[in-house]
Amino acid sequence: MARRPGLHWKVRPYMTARGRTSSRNPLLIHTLVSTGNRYDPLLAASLAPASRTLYEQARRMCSVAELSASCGLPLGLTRVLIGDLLKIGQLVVHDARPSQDLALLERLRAGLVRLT
Amino acid sequence: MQAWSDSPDAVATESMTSAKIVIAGGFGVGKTTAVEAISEIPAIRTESWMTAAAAQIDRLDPGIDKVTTTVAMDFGRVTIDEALVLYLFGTPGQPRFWPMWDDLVRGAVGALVLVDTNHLENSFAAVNYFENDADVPWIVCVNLFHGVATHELSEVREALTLPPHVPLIAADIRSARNVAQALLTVVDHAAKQAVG
Repeated sequence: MARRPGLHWKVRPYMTARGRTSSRNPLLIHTLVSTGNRYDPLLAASLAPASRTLYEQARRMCSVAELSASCGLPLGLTRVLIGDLLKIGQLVVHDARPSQDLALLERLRAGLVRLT
Repeated sequence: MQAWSDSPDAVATESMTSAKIVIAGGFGVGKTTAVEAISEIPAIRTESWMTAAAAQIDRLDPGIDKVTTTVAMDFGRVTIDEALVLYLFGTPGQPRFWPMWDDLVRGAVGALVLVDTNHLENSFAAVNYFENDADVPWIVCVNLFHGVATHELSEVREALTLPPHVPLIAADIRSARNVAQALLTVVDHAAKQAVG
């Protein structure tokens, strides 16, 4: 069989996420996640393909949106799978500061001034 | 100390944080151009699914009231300092993707609404959205397509009926420095609102 339509990514999400389309973790699209310092190859080997790809990609800290793009998964499914790995303590969410925090705005300002 | 880790970011990760600015506006107004001008990585495209009410389908077949569609959006990244990354997200332009804007905008420092003075009407919807449906600080930026202003900013403000407290600027968004300046205006406006 040359083509296996069942493996098309538009079908996979439902299978992979066992029917779930949203996550209880309110992850923002720019929230940074990573495996921290605890990458576990045995765990990676035990994960379903989509989760394994995501876990591997998260060895390098990046945002939820970047993970979605680099794993080729829709955002919603990426959130669900990240949520699963968070629940078992295998991913770390990095501090998301409130967006109206003045210290954060001052740092943004200083960084942008250097680019003008 | 972290000899077992092969993560290049291992030392810095614990204190890393991120921020987001949304770049909005109508179709073809230059959102992706702006993201690409300043992003340190090529603009990345990610996809999301959303369910949208489909009026035409409703009329044809009363049994179907929703369709699922794929929405693509482009984003970029700017390293602000060793522990802060700024993400720029371009909103999907077409009106049918609006429900996704809430997700994009949540937690943003602010928004930059791009307008093209030759097609001002293309950005009316984005202006409406930030005026009525979002609670993030926002500013409007006239995209000087060829570095030339074709209309006075006061005329643009009037045509958009912009509230006086919303900053209005003009920039050539092909230039990284111009985009940085526009983002700076967003940050300054956000700081002003945060102070109250």
